[in-house]
Amino acid sequence: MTRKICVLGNSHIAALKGGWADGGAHDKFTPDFFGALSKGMASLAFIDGKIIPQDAEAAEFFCNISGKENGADPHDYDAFLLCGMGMNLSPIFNNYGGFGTPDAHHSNPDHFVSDTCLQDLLWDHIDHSMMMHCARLVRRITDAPVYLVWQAFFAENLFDIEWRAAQIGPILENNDQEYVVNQMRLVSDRLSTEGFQILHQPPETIAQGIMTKSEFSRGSVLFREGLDKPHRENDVFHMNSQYGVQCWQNWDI
Amino acid sequence: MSNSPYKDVPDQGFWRSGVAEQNPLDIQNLYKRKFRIARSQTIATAGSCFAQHIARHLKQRKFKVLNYEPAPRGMSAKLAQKYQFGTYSCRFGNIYTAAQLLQLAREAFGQITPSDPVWEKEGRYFDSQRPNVEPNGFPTPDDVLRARQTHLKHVRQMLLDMDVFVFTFGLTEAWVHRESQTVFPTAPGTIAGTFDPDLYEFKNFTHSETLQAFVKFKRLLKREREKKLRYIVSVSPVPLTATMSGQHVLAASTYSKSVLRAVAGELFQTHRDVDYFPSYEIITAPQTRGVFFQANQRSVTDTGVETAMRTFLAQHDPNPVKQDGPKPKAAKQAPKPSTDDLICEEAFLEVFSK
Repeated sequence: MTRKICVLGNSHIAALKGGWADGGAHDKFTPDFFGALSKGMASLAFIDGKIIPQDAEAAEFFCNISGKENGADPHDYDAFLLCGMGMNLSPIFNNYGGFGTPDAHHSNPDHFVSDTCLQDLLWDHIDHSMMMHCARLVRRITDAPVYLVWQAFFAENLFDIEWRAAQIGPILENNDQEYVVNQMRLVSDRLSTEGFQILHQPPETIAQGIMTKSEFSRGSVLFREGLDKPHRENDVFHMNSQYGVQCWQNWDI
Repeated sequence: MSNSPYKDVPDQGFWRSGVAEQNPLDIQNLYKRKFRIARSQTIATAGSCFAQHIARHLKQRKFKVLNYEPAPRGMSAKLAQKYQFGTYSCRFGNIYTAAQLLQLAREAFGQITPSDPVWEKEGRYFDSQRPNVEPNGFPTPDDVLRARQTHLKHVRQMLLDMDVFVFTFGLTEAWVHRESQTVFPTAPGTIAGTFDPDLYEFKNFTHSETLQAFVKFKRLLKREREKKLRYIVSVSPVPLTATMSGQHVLAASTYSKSVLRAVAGELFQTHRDVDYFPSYEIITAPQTRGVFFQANQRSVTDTGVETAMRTFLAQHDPNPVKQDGPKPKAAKQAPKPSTDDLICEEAFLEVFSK
């Protein structure tokens, strides 16, 4: 019997939903896609035996997008896969330029702090994310495997955006990709001890160690019914359905 | 009777009307500012843990409090406190003694290099001058020194830029490096390092030593700076956690606070650019009957802090600016800080109590 997977997330689900429809589908399992926009998933709760946001607007979207009238019944699923919702490295990218650490290779940072300091910052960011709110909720109500997906790295075309380029450029110049990946690894290890399984960006989609090839971002669409409205030009956060195809083909679920 | 020089002394000059009959929450005329702090002036804060309250309240009132070592972007208030970002104008941690303040300024201007700069604990390395700002330390001594160099760059800039320096005297007792007389903020072996009586010695600074240290600090800044600087000094009302003086801790604490109060008083009397804020008196005055101390008879209650700061702000910000604009996001906002949130390394000595 084909297993059923409950996919939960925010706008980043669009790539996975589109990818499943555009060639990523296979017969190992069948996904149902649930999600809400913006901060909607922050109100996700377990109500009357169903997983559903408490926020009315988010709940409506959550049901409409999935076609399930009353939310997700956890008993219907063999596994849960959560994506987007703040599981990213923003604190590292935002602070790399200003804060050197022993493990990074800055030549002359304005501030020099311990690696633990920035690791605590990243953990705090993840720990208080919508992702972990949802993940821990699901963990409490089911013993099924819970997969957490790291958001894709920024797309390479971010170099068209001056301030973004100023953030990422120094990391590449200092060859500190491994430093960044290690921060990710430390968080993943910690989440594993909580019983979660971690899924990473498919290697085929990665450029320069910490970026996403532009071809996997170009043409990304908004998370709406129909998946037919594109993101703004130069959106470097969201991936397209080709990215989703790669994910479904790579991940061992 | 009519010729007595006391006949024109105002009410606050008499104990009965000035203290005994006063509401401890609102003692009238106890503090009159010596100078005004303009909104455009930059303020730097340092000192013992009680000084953190002054910094916090000034920030809340939108005074221009300097922060040369801000927290990494996105860091929560709770985490920022753990790493002492924003506790003072730089991440120097608590500066309990005037000698350490002078030493820091000399180091920042390249005049001296303190001895024994790195302390070790369980394979991690700590800055002996601020062992608590990185609670897990660094992996190598070189990392500590590198962090210190970037820190000193900011301290130097702070000392050059500030228009008003707010300093709270905390202690007279300290530990020093025997050979070099380098002063440390904590006893070696308390947070990090190892106590070795051949290397370190106890020092209880006298009135003249404390006064001289602060005056030398002032002279140093006068030499290095071009613009005018004003000082607001206060004395921490928080008693000693422990003493190495051999005296009873109450006697030792009284000595320490008396020295610091006398130094602050002398600075106030003899330097036009030094104001004294009587937070010590507000918290410890007899008519309060100890109500401003928590059950441990040491930590100051929130009410005590609020009372002291209300007195301060009544003079320096009688008509607070309305705080318009968007409120911080609730999810990221830390709970309202209380006295329990203060960072006081000295209190770590409590664990050695039998």
